[in-house]
Amino acid sequence: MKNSKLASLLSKLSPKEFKEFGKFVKSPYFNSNSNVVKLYDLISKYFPNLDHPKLAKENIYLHIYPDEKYNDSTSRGLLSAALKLGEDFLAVSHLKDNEDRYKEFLLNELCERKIFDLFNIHLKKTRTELENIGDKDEDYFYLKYRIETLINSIDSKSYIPLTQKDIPGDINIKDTENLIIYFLVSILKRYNYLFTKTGSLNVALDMKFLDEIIAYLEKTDLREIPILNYHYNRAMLYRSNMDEKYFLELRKIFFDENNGLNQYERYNLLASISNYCVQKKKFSGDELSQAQYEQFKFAIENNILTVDHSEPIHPVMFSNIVNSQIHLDKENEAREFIQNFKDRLAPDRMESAENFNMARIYFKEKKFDKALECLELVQNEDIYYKIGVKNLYAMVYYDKNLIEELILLLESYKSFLNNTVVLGPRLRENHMNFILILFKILKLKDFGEKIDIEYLKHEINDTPSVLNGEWLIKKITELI
Amino acid sequence: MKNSKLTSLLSKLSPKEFKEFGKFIKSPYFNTNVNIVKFYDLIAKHFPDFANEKLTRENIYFHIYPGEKYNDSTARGLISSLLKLGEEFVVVDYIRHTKNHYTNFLLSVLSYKEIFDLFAVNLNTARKEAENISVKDDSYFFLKFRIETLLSQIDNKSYIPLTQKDIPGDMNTEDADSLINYFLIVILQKYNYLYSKTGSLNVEVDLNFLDEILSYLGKKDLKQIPILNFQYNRIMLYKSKMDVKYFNELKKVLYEDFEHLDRSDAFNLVGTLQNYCVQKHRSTNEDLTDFEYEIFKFAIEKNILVTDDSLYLSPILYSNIVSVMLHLDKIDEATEFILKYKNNIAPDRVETAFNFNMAKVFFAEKKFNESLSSLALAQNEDVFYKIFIKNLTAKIYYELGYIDELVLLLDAYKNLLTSNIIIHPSLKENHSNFISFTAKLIRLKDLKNKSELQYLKHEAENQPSLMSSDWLIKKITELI
Repeated sequence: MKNSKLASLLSKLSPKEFKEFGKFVKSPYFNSNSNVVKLYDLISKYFPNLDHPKLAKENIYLHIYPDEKYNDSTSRGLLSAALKLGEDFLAVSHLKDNEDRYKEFLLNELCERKIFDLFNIHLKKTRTELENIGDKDEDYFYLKYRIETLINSIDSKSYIPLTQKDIPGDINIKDTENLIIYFLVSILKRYNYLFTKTGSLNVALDMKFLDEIIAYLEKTDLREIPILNYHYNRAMLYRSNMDEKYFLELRKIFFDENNGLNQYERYNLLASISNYCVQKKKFSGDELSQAQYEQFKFAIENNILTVDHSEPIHPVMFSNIVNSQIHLDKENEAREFIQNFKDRLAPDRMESAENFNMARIYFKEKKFDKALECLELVQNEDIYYKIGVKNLYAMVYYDKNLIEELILLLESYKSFLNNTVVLGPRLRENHMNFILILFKILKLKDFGEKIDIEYLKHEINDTPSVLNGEWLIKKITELI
Repeated sequence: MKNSKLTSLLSKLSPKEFKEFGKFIKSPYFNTNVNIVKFYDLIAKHFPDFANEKLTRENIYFHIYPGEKYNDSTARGLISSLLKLGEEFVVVDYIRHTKNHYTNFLLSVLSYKEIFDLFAVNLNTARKEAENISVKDDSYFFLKFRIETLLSQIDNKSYIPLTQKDIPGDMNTEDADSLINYFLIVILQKYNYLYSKTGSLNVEVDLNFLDEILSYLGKKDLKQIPILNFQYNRIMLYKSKMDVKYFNELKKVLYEDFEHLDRSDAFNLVGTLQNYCVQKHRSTNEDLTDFEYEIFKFAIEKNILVTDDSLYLSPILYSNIVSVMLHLDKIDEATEFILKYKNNIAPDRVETAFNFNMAKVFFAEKKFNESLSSLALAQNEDVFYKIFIKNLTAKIYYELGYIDELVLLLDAYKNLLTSNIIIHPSLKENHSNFISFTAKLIRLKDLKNKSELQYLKHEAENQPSLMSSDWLIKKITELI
């Protein structure tokens, strides 16, 4: 059975689920093959060790058909039947867990079968439950749309206008209203994801229908539907190239504890407003650094560091939080954060994240050797680490006056940026400008005229996109 | 148990389903209560006779707990548990037999549990099956949207850009594209339904978002998605107040893409084309009866007189088909159609529909007394029957020379139209004009004033909205 698809499926079941699967296999509604029951009973003796020799295909066969000659085709047939039941089990148990879909299908069946007394009871119950939901997400609107569609289909089938009393009044368009909201939330959610991806990766996008959607939303009062209001402002923030008014609106939503958003949306909201701060920091300086710090503090206090509580913290989020603390000279707070939250990183990414961020703290504290020691322990786990590590190495080498090492590093850093096609153009430009300016500083370091140095300082201020601009200015100022 | 909610549900199960429900009850995955099994076995003996006296609450209790004192609360609990299982059964059975939902649930849970080898196998199968479907409707696009969303989620979680090979290329927007197509098909279906409702009933609807949707669709090549192409041209036909270019597009859809429409859309397409013919005749006097006959013949041949075989034929459609046949003097064909399809009409509406249409046949054959006898058997089931019966009666009275009766009838007919607020203004105008012309006809019948008759004929020929205009013109001509 080893390496079979059945083993692949069963290995993902918890002991409790495996037990439930046993009941499923023994349920005449799903299975009438007693040999599959025997197979289950055999597997259950060794579960979760599915590689056990007793569970080899041949041994399974001999257990089920004692005294018979091995038949590979029968054996495979048996495993395949058990696999099909395993899939049925997963699908049915997923349905049982998915309350919204269960309610939708129940109402649908009661309506289709014209069991109207039960339909009305469940309709009333579901409506009450829906109205008591705090986080009204797209699934809420989808279920409402489906319910209203069923009601309309009943009304439409039973409506016979006979007398004046039968005037239909305004037609029920709640189904279309809820369908529209469901669609808008779902599509904006996807577009917002794509917007953030295009910010860091070099990818092309065709967002069909977005112009028309925005045109419609601009004439709609969105305050009644917080999730749609949030997605609209988020999409507009990216679309307007970071217009402050959308940032302020999003910040207001973020700090509102009763904003009606679920954990997933709160996390994405945090990512959007943080992204704004990173991109705009160069122009707005400390005010935005403070704003960024407050956002992260709120996120830590309210546990909004992941999309769901079972997920590990993303290394980029981890790093951004540390960065915001270091930027405001809160190194101890940063150190504390790293210690308290490193265990919430994925185990395979924890070491690099811890060392990279500790290296930044040491660098800020001018403990350059310690920073280098930490950097050596960082693995180039992804392209962002690669460039982040190179960047920090460059600053450490400069401050330690390791000029030859620095020149070699800058060359390889530059060639890396030139060759990589994965990075988004904005991020690449950011790093490239850092390299170019640092090269210029190096040239001016020993023999530079004051006027050239002043000019370079002026040049940095005029460069819209440069990484670690403040550090570069500081280094130039030291030369004057 | 009689009149209980449980009876209400069980009575809607077919014998085959009831048997399956038995297996469901005996499945340990759903039920481990042996008393429920005993309860089912008792009902099974009497199915579908739930009114059997052996099935009173007390008798059920004594069957399950022999020798014990009756406990109403326990009896109610048993019924309630079986009802709960019945509800669960209809939902689970629906999912097992609805391919799209089953696939969606299975793929979702395989993705959630990270069983990627099985996910890939099932994904390939689902994609192949989906592409081989000729009718790509809303459920096709919804499933595609769900599948592509799962794929994007998996890609997103597992994507770590490390080397040049990891360039993501263009982002996968198939999920967003499928969601848009799903939404557009459903919302246009709903908007078209609302448009057709406002055409016959005096109600108003606010179709917000329609302008933006049409602006987007106007830029798209819709030929690849026949259902969307149909819905778009259908709504444009209504919106443009019957522009012939959309009518021609819809004709093309009927003859070239019929196989790609589901039955409900095909039914609605026939209805839309027929509606165009009627409206054009009303507004421009253009006679499109030959085409109407052609599409009705097509609908009869393709079995699309109803959207689903379990539904009854609409009395309005039944009547419209007869009218078209009679207009083309195909009296035998009309009689044959009435007889052949009368059993397809809902039992409570068949008598009126049959007699009303037979009255039309007799009228065409100039058998006015037989026609009146048939009309006497037709009930005023709804407001539309009321006005059409009055219209036919008026013509019969005229033909029979019952002028006093006719005058009285026209008064009642006029009163009905004036006081009724359900009938749409254009339909009201149509009938009001008939009354007014018939009144003039009566007045001129004895006077035989040729010039006034000629003027009346000219007026009738140029009146865009006139019920039974052909008959009226014929009657005026007979007097000249």
